[in-house]
Amino acid sequence: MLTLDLLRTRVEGGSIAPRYVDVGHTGHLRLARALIDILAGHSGDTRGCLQTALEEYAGDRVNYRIQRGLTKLLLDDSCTFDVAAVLAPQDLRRSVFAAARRHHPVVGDPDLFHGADRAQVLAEAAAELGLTVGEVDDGLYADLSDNHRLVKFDPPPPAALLERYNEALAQAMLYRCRRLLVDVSATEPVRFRQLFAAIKLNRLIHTVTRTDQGFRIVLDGPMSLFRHSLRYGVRMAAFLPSLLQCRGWRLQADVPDDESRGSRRFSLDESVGLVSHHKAWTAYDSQVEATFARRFEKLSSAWTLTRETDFVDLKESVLIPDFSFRHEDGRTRMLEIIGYWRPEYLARKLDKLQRAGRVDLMVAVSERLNVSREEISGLPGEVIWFKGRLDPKEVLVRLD
Amino acid sequence: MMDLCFEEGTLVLRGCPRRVVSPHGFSWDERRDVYRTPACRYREVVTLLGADGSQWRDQAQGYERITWSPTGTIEPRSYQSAAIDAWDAAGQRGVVVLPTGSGKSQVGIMAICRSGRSSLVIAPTIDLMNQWYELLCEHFGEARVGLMGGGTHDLRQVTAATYHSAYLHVEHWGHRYGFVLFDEVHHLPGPRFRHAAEMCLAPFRLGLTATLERPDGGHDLLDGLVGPVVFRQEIGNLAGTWLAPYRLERREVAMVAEERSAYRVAEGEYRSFLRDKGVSLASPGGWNTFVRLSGASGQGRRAMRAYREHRRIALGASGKRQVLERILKDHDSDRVLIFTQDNDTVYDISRDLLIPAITHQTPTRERRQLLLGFNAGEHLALITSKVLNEGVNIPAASVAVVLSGSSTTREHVQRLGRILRPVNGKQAVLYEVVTKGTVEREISRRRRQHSAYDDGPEDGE
Repeated sequence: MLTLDLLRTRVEGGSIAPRYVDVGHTGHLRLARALIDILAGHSGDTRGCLQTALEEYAGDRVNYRIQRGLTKLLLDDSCTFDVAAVLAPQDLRRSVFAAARRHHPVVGDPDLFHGADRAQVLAEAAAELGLTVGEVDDGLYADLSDNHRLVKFDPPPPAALLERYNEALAQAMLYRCRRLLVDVSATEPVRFRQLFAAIKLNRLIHTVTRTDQGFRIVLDGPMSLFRHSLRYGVRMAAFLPSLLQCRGWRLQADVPDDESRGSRRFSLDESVGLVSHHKAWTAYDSQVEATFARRFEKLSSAWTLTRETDFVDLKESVLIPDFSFRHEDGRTRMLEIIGYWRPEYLARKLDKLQRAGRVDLMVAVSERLNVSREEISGLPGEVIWFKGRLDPKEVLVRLD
Repeated sequence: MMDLCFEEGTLVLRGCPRRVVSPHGFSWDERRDVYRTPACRYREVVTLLGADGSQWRDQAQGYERITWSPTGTIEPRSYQSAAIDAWDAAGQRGVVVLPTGSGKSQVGIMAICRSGRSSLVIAPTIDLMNQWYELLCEHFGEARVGLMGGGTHDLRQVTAATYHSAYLHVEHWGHRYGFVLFDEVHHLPGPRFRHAAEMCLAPFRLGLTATLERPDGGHDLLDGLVGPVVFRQEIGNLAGTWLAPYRLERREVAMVAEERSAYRVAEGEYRSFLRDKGVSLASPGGWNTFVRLSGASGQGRRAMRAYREHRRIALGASGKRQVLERILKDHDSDRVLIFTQDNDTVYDISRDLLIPAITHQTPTRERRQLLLGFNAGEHLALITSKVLNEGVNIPAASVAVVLSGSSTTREHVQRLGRILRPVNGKQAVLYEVVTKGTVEREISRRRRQHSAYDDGPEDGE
């Protein structure tokens, strides 16, 4: 991710946005290509040496901050550095400083009372270690970050680097935000699942309300109830890539402005065209679900499997059913398949279904599960038992 | 029956449905349908719940009473006892202000014993954390002492941490310590670090510092975060008796011809740029304007580079190296600490004069060995930039050389403090090396505006 000093913004009245780069712009592509080439040409060199080469390339140009941003992403995501020394630098230093102590002080102009110079001390230490003076001298601080050597570089395509940069700019915009407002239209279950998994992973608190277009999700943290806390900004930034994978979304956040002590609005939606660098989860997490979807779509009926799902907010968590159905006349139903679950997960799942209290949510339960009919009978919606694979006709019967 | 629980740095009242009037300053959290309040209100909340006769269980408190007694012995000095008594009388909450070198950590150990609860000690740097760790092990035994910071996360009954880690992980440790000690407590009021105090429930708290006041006025927040100032003693009252007597020496060096001309060129370049733009660095906001302009044009970028260059030349004048070598020769059997403004200079000198260096990049084990080795006389000199500014215990050091530094008095006072630990009749010397006729004069003047330097040499002497 980018640091705040690398964030470039544009302010317009009460709003603020990053200065995204045009991914198709030849100048930017050339810059990305040039930086990638510089890194590729410095394989085996030190980080300090790389930085000097990059500085020289920058010259007095004003787009220097774009360059530094791109460089940071390249160094963080695509480069591997390592320490190159014949002996662990700490061990070299121990010997050298011990030798230096015997001749203290080591000075540039020795006199009658202080006769030792640097070369003499290094030679003494090198002899002790069985190394050459050059090896000792070179390795002495090989572990400093500036002296690390570039051992591996996986160059991204220039356009991909620019896309990652734009995404990182939007993420950096969120570092100092206190609260995130997300509007998202109904989408596939798997996208919601990934979205709420990211919310949970980043330990954010959500508040969901229903809107005409879908859902409004407000994100902040426990302390946000009491004061404007910047504590959760970095977590919001980490959450963003999962939102980018949804469809029909829009984000708003207020960014504090230190000079006016007020804030500016940061908005983002799909039209900006940001691309998530996270891998998208696959549509179905089990074979049972994938098979069911395929076979259901082959049946001809007034019910269709929709890609837009509803979900139920349980405050501590959410319940996102596996499937949603829509009738030609507009009626909707949902289905949750309980295939193979470990006992503790099953208990939690049943509790969630219970609390959701939705009668339009059918539950299909595998008979292979070690669960009694009594435990299931209390669920608000209809229950279908199945062996092996779930027959779509069984579901269709109950839909009607 | 209600349950008071610790949740992610806050307290929640489970099993308490929404009421017309919220209980005891709790806020209704609609996001979770629960009453919530910041964890730092624990002490108050427990008292209130206890008094109103409601049925409740404390599921929040995760700390223990210490049943064992410390192994080390403490023979407190009179002012240390007075400080700890004042803190005790204030209900074991509050800030103690004592000068560097006066044994603040002894006061901390005494406070841990008095509180008798699982304790967390938070310090600003990894060095200081390690130093506390050693001290805690000495008094409470290694098996009971943990570390949180510098890549280690091992919480035990008594634990040393850095502010950074304490801030990052407060959701995790916030209920596990009954007593929290904030060392160098002036760091706490920052917008991030103060979360460490707000999101933990420790009913007993102590802040220690030599330099309470912050330029941003943040020290006013400490009352709420830690407690009021319960004891205060200034440096002048202790020098000579409890601190080593000290002498200040100023060494001025001239630039060589090439440095002088490069300095004038760089100075001329950024000044003419600022003059053209009508910007004065002395005016409020002047510096920010310069930063903004430097990003807007190639000319601005060159001016900023020239500005950095002229400072670099002044602070890094080659004449300083000769002065340093002279000092090392004059004090060839004393323990000498060398301070510079930046890490590059630290490593340049470390490489040239083969003097061990400590910076933020030095591995934890090595820096411990270097400090122990220095105190034991295995090394006679150490060079560092910022990391040893604060609190690190180097009793053997009697000579400090400030080759370059910032203009803050805090840094300078702390550097002086490093050589003031009283050891049998030592006379401490602080050398300040300044380049004549440059911006460094002003930097030096500003950093010496403190009572500790009242008898020091004036400019131009």
